[in-house]
Amino acid sequence: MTKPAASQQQANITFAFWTTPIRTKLTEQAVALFEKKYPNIHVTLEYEPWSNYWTKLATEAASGTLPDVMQMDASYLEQYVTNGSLLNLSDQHVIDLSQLSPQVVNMGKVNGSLYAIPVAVNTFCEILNPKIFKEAGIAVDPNKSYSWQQWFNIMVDVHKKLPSVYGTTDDVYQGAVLAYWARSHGQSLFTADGKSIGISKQVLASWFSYWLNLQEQGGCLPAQQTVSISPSAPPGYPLIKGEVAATYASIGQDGEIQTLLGSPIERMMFPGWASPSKPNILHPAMYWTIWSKTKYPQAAEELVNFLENNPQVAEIFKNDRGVIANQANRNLDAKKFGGLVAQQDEFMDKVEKVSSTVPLDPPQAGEIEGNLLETIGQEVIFKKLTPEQAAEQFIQQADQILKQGQ
Amino acid sequence: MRTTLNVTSSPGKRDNVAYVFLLPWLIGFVTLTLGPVLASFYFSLTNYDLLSAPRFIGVANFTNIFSDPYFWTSLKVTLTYVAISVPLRLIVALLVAALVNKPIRGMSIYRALIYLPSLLGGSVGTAIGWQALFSQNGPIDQALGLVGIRGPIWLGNPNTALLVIILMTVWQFGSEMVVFMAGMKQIPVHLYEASVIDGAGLWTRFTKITLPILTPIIFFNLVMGTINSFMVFTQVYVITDGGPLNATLVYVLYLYEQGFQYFHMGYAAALAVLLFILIAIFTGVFFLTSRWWVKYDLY
Repeated sequence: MTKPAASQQQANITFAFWTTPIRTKLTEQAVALFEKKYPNIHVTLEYEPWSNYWTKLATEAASGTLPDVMQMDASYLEQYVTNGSLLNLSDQHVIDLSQLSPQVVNMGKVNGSLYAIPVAVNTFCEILNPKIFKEAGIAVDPNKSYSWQQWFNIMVDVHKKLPSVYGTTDDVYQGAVLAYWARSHGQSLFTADGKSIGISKQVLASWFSYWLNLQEQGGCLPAQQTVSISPSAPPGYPLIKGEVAATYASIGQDGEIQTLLGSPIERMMFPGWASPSKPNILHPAMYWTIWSKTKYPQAAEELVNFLENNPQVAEIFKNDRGVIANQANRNLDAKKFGGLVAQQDEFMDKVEKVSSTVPLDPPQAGEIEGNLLETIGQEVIFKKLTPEQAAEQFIQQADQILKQGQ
Repeated sequence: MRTTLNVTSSPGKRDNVAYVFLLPWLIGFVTLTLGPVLASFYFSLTNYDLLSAPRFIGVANFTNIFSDPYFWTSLKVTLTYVAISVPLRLIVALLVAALVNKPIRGMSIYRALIYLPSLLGGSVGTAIGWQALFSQNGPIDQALGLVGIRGPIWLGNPNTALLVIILMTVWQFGSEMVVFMAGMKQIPVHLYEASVIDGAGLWTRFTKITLPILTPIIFFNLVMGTINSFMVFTQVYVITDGGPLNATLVYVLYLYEQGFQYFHMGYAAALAVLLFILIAIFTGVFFLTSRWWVKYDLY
């Protein structure tokens, strides 16, 4: 039960989150509402863009000055739990979890205890430009579960019909799609204990072959164009410029892509989504966590509860942080706002129906899926390595990275 | 009894006053430069991920570095970059300095325009603009198209990506040029006049008078340029992020990835120590060999 006496004391808490200019404004509005409801709690905001956020947080952890409430990402969650930075929320009573499905709540558990409250769920998808498909005279049904081979043929077909356009962006070094490919073949990129690579050499080599062949036949962008996409370009840039008919994107980026493209897009799950191995996963977009050494645990929990469950906050945020985890608020938003929000929610509901839950990635996943996969993937598409050689090198080096981190 | 007023204080007290004036800079230097450098030396002997306390591991970082293929790649890329961009920039700066060192009307405007790029320096905005210049079917490609040349995908081709970075550095030759011009203004005109009487042509005057007298300044620009080149980062980070195929993976970028993306702080510190040693070696070699080609007091 909330203790009335404690919650009336003046509390000053810090709240940190990674952000974009839009998200900063939305969060300020939400926090202003919170402070009106809890006049005894003052919240100081700390925000950085993604790239700086983790360095800053790590520095604050090293100096023992972490913020009371922190936005947290799945790829860092385990690290911060292991070094004792996060408050164990298993026995708390302030934050209401009734509107989150048990599956979703489990995403915030590490070693069986709840350390993080999932804010929103995310997934990735193929974004299609229906105009190009129409121009090429190819009929594509975004609700159909194509096989990887069928999709291969469609992508090549686009290039045949429209020689200046390629089927898709080259996703050979998109870690999330590789993990999806592994699950499509009944395997997993990382072993359950996160200590070694779980995908077999054959399946990995087939992944590299798939994209190499696709490139050969014009089904995806040629290597030099793929690597010249600027790191600071908006998501889905080749699609926006009309160079491809389809691109990989995460669900939160679809609005921006549609706006920049200037015409409606379609969302489609990756090939083989209806297969029994359920390759789609529920991915937590982000969590709310609390510092284990906070001086105001009550106030911090009140803030988390407010951000997580208050319907007005849901109306302010909409899907900026991902599709809202709180089911009641998600439905409210979809009904009230329709349009993009409803489309994203609808797609998310579809994905959730065919998703499986998987353990969190090991902390070195960022380095492996980002740096290592990118280097080796590039060597494959530039034909410096055969798919088999690439698979062998990847597994060897990735296992080394995982071992070093232990 | 002294007849002159002894306004100045004794030598000892004079030194104290000097130190007082130096103190602000000294404090800044020790706390913001020297201190972190020493801390870096310490961290290079540890395993440190910022989240837990540093763990002493001796020279393990250094042995790992020598078997790290990306280290050697970044070393190769950086040395290539230095070897091409430093001489190229110096030559361009010297030649253009000679060209604009004339009292023609409007020359000061040209000089300012040429100097402008080096002011913009390694700024992010300039880098983004440079990247847009060399983008596929961007302005450079279009200009080449006008003369019938089909431009490569500058930033997608591993063979041309580093060239784009080098060109950006060379484009910023303005600061060296200004220093050269200052040096040229100091050359006594009578030397040139005498040589003309002796029948010296333009090239001879340049190589036998201008160059030898400028050697101390060339030396200065060479050393400064080399040190700065080894530390190139911003342009690469913004334009290519080390790609394609690690063709532009410069040393400091690799260091940054190790330290700030993967939190291998000890390893990154070890990389920094090695870079420090490398630059020190180059500078030492420059100074040692300078006695053979740098001439002071020629006139």
